Amino acid sequence: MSGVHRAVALAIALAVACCVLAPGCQQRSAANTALPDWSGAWLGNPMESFADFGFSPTAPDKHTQINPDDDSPVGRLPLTRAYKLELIRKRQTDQSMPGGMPSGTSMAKCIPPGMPAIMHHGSAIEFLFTPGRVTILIEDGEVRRIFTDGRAHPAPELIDDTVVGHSIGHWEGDTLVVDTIGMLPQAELFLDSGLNVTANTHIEERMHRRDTDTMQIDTVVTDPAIFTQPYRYTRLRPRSSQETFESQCMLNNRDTADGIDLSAPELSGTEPATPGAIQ
Amino acid sequence: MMSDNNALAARLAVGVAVAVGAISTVVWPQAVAHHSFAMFDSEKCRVVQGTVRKVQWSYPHAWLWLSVPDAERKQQLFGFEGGAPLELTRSQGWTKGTVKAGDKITVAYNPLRNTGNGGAFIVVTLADGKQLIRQGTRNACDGMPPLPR
Repeated sequence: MSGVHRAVALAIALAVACCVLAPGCQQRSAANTALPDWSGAWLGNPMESFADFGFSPTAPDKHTQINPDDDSPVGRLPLTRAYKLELIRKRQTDQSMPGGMPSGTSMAKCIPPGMPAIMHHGSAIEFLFTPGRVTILIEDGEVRRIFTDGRAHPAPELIDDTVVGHSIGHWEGDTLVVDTIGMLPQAELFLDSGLNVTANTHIEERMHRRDTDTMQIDTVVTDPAIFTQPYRYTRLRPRSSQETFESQCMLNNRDTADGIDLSAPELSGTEPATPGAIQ
Repeated sequence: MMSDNNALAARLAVGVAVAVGAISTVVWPQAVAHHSFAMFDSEKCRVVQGTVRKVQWSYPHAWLWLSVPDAERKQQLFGFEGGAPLELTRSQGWTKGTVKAGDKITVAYNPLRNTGNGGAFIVVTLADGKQLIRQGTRNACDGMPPLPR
């Protein structure tokens, strides 16, 4: 054995010895190698969610009618009377917008939708596994930190509420089971619905890779102020052939309360535009 | 050159099959956008030809800025909002260099409901005839052919 080979062998032996002497090292290595491969970008599709609450994004006259005086759901949503009335109020407010569509929503102001709405969004998501934690990166910039180290949620009065909430999780085979509470009141139930969570909204998710290119997420949202019974839904997310993108909403947001900001940017070229042409 | 879809249809009537509104492709819905696009009238489609003055490959949505000659041959500036770059890339393979300042293009768009030179671009036709279509839910610009060159 040459001197170089002896040095390499010694370095490997030292590394192995360090790992044997440090139990955490072994556990982390074993845990990470046992985790499934969820690499890649997993696309969302908001249309299923719009359909769930009877919302027609391009045809407001086709919104599902809401009857607050019976137990009928709105679309698939088992909404309480209070939230039906809230949804009616939101839609009436939105009539001020041409077409009766939601305007001035959190999304239009670039406020992150939060949980559970962001998981209805078209943004792709990406999973990162590190010891004791799964991290979900969402293309709009939101980050979900899911603690899988066995900890419990903090007491409610100790949680610093966030738009994505506080998440803990554990693995059942290749299924990640996630429990989320502690969202800020600005967090939305659905994209563009204008409906927000409460301090008691509780979200349970079961995530598993159904096949090579499909992530399945089964979700149950419970909140007695919002739903008369748990709202359950399943979403399938196809794996994208492309990487995730960065989409920072504030960079060129031209939404205004009642329309669009058409102020011209700095222009290229020598051909002058007529001053004042832009209204 | 400015035109609305009726005028365009008349101009194309000879020898050109006009299939306005005949196609409804749902691949990557507009609803992925961060607002509802309610400020644009998806029941109307207008078409302009002009020179690109600026491409804002930006979030939440990409914008195209076009100089368009009016009836008195004065240049008018139009602004067109599209999807997020990630949406345009995933649905149509656009990149930030697909449309560049100085390009002569034709834009079929849903006009603003309020006054203003602009709208939501749906079909962009490049000088070489290649079409970039912002796919979504049914739209008055679906299937819109380019203006004759």
